[in-house]
Amino acid sequence: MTSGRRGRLNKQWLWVGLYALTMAIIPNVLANNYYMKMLIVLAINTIIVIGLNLLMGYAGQVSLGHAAFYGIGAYSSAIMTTKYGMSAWLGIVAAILVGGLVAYLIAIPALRLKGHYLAMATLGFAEIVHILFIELREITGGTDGLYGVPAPSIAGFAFDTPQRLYVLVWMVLVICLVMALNIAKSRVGRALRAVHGSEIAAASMGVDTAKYKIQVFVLSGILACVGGSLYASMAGYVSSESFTLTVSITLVTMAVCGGMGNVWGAVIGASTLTIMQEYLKSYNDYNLVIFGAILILAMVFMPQGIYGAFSDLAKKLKHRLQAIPETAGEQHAAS
Amino acid sequence: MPLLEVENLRKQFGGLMAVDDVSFRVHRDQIKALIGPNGAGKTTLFNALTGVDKPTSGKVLFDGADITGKRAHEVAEIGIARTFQNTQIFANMNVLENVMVGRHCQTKSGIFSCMLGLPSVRREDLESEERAYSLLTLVGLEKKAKSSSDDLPVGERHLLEIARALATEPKLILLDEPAAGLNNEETSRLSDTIYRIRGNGVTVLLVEHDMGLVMEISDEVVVLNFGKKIAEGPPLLIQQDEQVIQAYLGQEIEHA
Amino acid sequence: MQFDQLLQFIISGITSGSIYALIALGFTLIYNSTQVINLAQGEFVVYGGLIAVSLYAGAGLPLFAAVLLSIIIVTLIGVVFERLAIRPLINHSIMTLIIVTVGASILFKNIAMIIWGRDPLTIPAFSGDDPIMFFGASIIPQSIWVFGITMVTVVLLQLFYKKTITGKAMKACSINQTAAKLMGINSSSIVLLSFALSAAFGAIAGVLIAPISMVSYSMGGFLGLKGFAGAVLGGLGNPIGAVVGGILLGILESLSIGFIASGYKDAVAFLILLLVLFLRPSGILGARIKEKV
Repeated sequence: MTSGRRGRLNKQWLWVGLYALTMAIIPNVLANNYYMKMLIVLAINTIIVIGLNLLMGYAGQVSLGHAAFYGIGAYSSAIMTTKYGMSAWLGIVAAILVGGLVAYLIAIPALRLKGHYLAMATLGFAEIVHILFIELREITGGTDGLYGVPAPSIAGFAFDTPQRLYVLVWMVLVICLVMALNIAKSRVGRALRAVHGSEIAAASMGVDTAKYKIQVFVLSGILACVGGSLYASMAGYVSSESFTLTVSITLVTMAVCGGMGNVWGAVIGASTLTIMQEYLKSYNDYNLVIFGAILILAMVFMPQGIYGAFSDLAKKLKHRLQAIPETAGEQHAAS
Repeated sequence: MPLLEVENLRKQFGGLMAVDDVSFRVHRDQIKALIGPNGAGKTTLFNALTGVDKPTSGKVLFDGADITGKRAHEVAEIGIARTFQNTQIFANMNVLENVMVGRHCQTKSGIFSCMLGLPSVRREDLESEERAYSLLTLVGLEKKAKSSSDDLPVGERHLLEIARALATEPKLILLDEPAAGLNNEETSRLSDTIYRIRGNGVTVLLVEHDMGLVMEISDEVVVLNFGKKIAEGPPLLIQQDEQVIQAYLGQEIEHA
Repeated sequence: MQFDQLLQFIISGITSGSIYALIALGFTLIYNSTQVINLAQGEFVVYGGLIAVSLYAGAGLPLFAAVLLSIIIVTLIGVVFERLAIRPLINHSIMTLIIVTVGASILFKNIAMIIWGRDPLTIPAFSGDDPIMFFGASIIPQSIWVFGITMVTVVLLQLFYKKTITGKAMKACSINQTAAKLMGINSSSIVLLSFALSAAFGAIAGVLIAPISMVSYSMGGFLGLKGFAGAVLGGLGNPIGAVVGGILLGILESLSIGFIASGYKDAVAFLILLLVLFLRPSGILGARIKEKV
């Protein structure tokens, strides 16, 4: 039994290696700035959606407001670097601290709510934050946004081209993925799933449900902030338009369409939808019409998400394959 | 000193006194049953004991310490585990993982060490897994360890909940109608399991409707009716108690 | 602030509040029959307004015919939406349903942009534009229409709940779906009816507001959210609460323009939403929520 568990774990790290390798090779094949930027956005989205999946898929707590943390991360970085002359690294640290604190403060009252109430509270919170991005002109630059966000550099090597920045984003992505997979299979991961499965039973098993809900909310908020910080470095500027309700919803959609309750679902969802959105841009006005239609169809035909649909299919195929020799044997015996 | 002392416990919902001034004691290594007609307040009492609901007034002492009004997870840490009448299985986990959640109190890894996958986390996990597996063996579900918990029939759900509750290594286990949905053979296996639980040094307090089971295994019985305690004593005496017969007969007549 | 100014803010608050009230009612109806928050609710308002514009200015129908027909068409859209997207998923998780209604709102919004373009459009006011003076404040006649029709709708809905079998069945479903089902109430047709009525209420809001603030494809999202804030303020699930909450929200928002910078006007609604959710999630008229084990 124990050896079986080990075997499964090794296989998981094999997938991580394979994924990391693929993500490292792609830029060498698609070596132009357009694809590089898309790939950076894809990686950033994956980082954020991994956090959202821990929050929603594992702990079952809905957030329609993660664009706020994405924005807080980006603005914190931008303000610290452009207004206070800090290095981009300190910008990322600031983003994590500010975002983590805001997430903590909002989590305490919000996570006492459930279901739709929680969804709408996070949405309301994100709308307020978005309005503040526009209205606090002195520090956020209002509708103009902030320009001249520097790229991080280390020992004289600046991550200042998309190719170079991608190396950094790739590293952060792989670290986040490994951490999320570690949490998922651990005591804390089980506690989160228990909160989702039955809060009252979780509490009766000694799980401090409030504590874990707050922890995972803060963690997902911080991952969104890290994403925002990296985004600011890539784009070189931040403006409120990048952090609207639509962005919150797109992130949630990535989590749901990929498949909730599985870290790989987040990876699949973020990758598929980022590529799809990029591709749909060529349809101009019809872009979002198609996007909306795909969302509805995806939910109607694959409510478990892509990962869920494929693992169901895999299970069925396995059953089929196991059933064939048996029935063949039976027929043989009958004849 | 008794393991659990319930003193003048009251729980009021609006105008309804669901548990009304109930006092009783559970001694170490006892199997004690709580019976009563539907709506007598048995599950409400369980909820008030385990921190799911706050009692309106009264006291709960466990191992001599006042635990009244403690939150559910704190009660679990102190050493009281429970199962649920309407089973509360974690449908998003397999059978083994369900039991491993019960190990939560007995393990310590926080979110940071889990994130980093420290060796201590892995060690703890393996221990938990082995303990969970042996508890599944105790209730006879070891063959289904890797099955989806959502596919289990009702009877096995109750067994899974017992294993999960035992995984918290409690001093006292509260079983809420564990025999619901079991056939005769399964019920007799259940009574063996309950004896074995007691044999492992865990005190048992159970709510049960199956009178055969209650009379067979309990050392003492508490009878509730309309939130009030109407009798307490060994099974043989309870069966002859006027008030108890009245309460149950009254119900029979209503049913007919 | 002087009295006439204050009165002016309150009157404009009641006008926009009536619109929020109609949207809040739509949320309430669907929530009561399905426990779903329909995030596409604001799009019904937009379609109500824009279809009326096309029928009036494009097809040359008389104003009232255009308005009425627009409401009917939007009601049908609501019905189709329920059949195609909600019905198949009714037993799925909240997340799935949220995404579906969000998907629908994105779809509706962008189809509207393709059909009607990006510019705001309008229809004439129902009975002229000459303002009526009232204690030093001026009221445009359309505001009276907005408030009046909202009130008529609310009264009709109450009568429907109290006097008709279907209405009573709908009420029963909102109190206890399982029990209602056991009593032989066809809950699936109740769900359909609730979508039809919500769409109709949205469309009514749309045709009422079009002459005052004009209608553009993109305004559905914010309107929907404010309607929801109104519904929560009054106590989600309570139709009277929805109306009171909606109008109260309109007034508070309007007054906030008088006291705080107008850029924060939209933030007021969301701040109220958060405060109500955090401090009294059952709303001002709702009973405290009891959690079931």
